[in-house]
Amino acid sequence: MSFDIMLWLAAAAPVLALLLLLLRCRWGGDEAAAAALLVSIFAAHRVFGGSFDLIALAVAKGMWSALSIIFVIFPALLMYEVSRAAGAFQAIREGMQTFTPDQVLQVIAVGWVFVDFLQGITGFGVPVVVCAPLLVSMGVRPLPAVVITLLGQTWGNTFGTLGLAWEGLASQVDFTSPVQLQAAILWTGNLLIFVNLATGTAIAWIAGGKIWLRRNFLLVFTLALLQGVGQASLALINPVLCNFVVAAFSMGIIFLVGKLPWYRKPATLEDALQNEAAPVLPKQNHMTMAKAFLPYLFLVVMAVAVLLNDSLKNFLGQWTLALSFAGKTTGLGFVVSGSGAYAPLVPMLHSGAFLLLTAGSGYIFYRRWGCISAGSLGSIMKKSLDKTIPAGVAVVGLIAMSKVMEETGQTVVLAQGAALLTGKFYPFLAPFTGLLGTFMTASNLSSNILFGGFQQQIALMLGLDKAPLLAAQTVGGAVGSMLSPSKILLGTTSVGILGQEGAVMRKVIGLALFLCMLMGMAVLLSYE
Amino acid sequence: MRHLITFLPVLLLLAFPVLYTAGHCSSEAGSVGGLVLLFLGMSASFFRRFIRK
Repeated sequence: MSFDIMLWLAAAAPVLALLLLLLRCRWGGDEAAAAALLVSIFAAHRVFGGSFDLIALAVAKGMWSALSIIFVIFPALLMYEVSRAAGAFQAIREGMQTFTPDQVLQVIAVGWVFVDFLQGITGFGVPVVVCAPLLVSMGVRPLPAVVITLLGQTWGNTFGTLGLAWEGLASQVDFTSPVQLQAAILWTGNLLIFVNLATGTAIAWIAGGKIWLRRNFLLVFTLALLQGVGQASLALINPVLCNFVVAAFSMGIIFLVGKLPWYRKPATLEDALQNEAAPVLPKQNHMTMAKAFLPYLFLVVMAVAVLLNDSLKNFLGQWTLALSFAGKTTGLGFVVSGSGAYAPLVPMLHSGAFLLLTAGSGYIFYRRWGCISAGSLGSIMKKSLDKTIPAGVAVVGLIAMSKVMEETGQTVVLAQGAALLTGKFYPFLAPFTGLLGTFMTASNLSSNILFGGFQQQIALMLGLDKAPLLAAQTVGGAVGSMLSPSKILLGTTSVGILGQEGAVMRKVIGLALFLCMLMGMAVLLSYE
Repeated sequence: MRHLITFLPVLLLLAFPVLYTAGHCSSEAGSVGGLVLLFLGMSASFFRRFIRK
């Protein structure tokens, strides 16, 4: 590996442009994504020697991958509009009072515990698009609602979605030694304990302000410890189910906590969090909390039943959509292998399909109960589509940018440059590499596939134990999920604040970088 | 004009087959055409901002 500063700066330009436009210039996600894509194409063609046909294929791959995310956005918005039209959010808001009059606990229950429960089984941004509108319906302002759900889903990224990101990492590295595998799992589980504690604390702080310390510290600390230690221990036995089992257990605990006399006393949200003009329609006559939650319950039951049942999963998984892509080589000699079936989309097992069925069943239930008028379907579809289009444009731009960077060697140059510059101090940067991967691809899994092998190579090159570096990779990737523009877009779209992605990012970037710094220090010190 | 801008994202649907085919046929002109379609499809909000000014 050699280091060329101009090449490295050119590789960094698209990411820097994206951050600058979102954070400094306060552009909306769709505009910033288009501009950053343009920068990445310019760098790919002029500096990295990528021909236009190679770039065209990379953009096409990006558009194909973006389809998978758009397939989540549209049905999630459909679900939101159906619930809104039926007045379900008002019923949920009132019903949460019977769970506990403590609004801070309500936010912790939905924004931390329920979010992770959904992350454990579905992932792909579903927790954010489902729970952010729920929080808004409970009286939380839209922007903090998105921030809370982004924080809440973070710790479930590696072992959530039935251990998908962990499996992705394991597929890229050599885990033939059981000792190495166990060490990597332990490191990952332990780092995630701190991530969980930090995000849980941040959520409680955002929701309750200064009073959280007095009212909720013990709860947050105990739950974070139970979740983190539980996940780390179970991961040694079964990395696929550990997050889901722990999240389901936490749901039970939070339900019991709501019954404690301490939490039967009313507590209000922090002033800055309260949304006096929550955009909810009046509750219909027949709507109750149970009815309002039924579609969400249907989503959970359906996802659990399908994803945990191998024969059903195999049956539904037999239909796939995939495209073949030719291999290409850049002018600098970076080789992109051809693929016979690139990023296959499995429509019947896709989170979007579950959400679509949920929205459809919700509409049928609400219609039967007389909570929704007969002619409302057209307006629900139109509203959902109107919100999906700008979010879809932004997702296409962001994923296409990441593909252009990946396929012209920019991503590898960026990571290799950092490794060469830092030398034996690289372990400090390892979580940031994971974070970069998720920031760009919106997926902990993709980050691990992109950089898992790279981290292993660095460990070999520096003569280090690879377990801490690989753990830093995947946990850094999990932390990066709160910063990912595509995931932020899912949240801002679902609560109707599209264009405020930069504002959301400004709220979470500090915590994300701080957590990566702490993890980097821990990993670096472990080698001393 | 505003009405036309609303339909710009439709160009993204056209851009995909153009990019895919041109990329596979190693056609530089086709690829550039696909990229132009892509950016036109993504430019609705830029045009809206321009009109507002």
